[in-house]
Amino acid sequence: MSAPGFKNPNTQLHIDEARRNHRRHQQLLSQPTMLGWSVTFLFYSAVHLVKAHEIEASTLHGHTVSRNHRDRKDYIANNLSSIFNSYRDLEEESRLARYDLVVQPLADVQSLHDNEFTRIRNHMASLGYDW
Amino acid sequence: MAHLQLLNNSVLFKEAETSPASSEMETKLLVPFRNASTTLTTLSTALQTSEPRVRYLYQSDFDFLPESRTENVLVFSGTTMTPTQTELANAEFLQRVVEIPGVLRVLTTGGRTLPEQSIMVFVPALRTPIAHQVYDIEADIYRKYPDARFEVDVKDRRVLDTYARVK
Repeated sequence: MSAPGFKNPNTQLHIDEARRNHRRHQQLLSQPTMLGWSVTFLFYSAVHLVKAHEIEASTLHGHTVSRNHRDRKDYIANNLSSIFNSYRDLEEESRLARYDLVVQPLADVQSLHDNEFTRIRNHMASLGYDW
Repeated sequence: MAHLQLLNNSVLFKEAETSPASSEMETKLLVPFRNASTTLTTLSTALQTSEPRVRYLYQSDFDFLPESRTENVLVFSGTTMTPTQTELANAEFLQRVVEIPGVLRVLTTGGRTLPEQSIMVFVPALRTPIAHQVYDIEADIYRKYPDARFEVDVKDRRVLDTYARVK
């Protein structure tokens, strides 16, 4: 379910992608060798929720949409500060899985979802960005 | 030199040598991360008013860490200095992050000078109060220096050996 009346049609595209990435995350939970990618899909679900917010804000207020992860963190620090730590936790856990091949147990991945991701999703939902 | 006296409390040591390239005398300062921001701002302020004009180029390179020392340092030497937003951001982050109890290690990676580099912080574990203190400083730096090309990676102890060059 999404908030109606977005000013930019691309906003909804990113919410839809956030939903799809969340579903991909859930699908991979049952595959022990894919838990790292499960974390990455979770992170990218958060990325697209933030990006939806950013696109809408840019349409309303005219600022530039971030083009990379660094600029997105800058945007979050300045505009969505209450989720900054959870977003960074997700990002770094995702990097650990992808680049450092750290094996994350299922319980840790579920905890990441239930705590950090849920905190982000709830906050974004309170702003009207959810599926 | 007066500006060096200002820095006496923040540098580990200084040495003067003649540059082979320019035959000019260079002074090299080794500055621990915990004094990075203070030193950068003190030096730049002092050098803007000094006569004769003395300039410093600094580089941040872990390889310059002397064998006997255990903390990371910035090396200031040679020429420059009007600090950019990125230099100020990186220096302030370094100075603040090494004060967090429990941080295991802080490394700079990338080019030779601070504005070219990104910063890697090692903590015992992610998703802990220590990691969140690092993120709090990171977010504060983003807000304080919006034009800085500032980039931080936070890693946990499991991958410390992969990245840290232990002297």
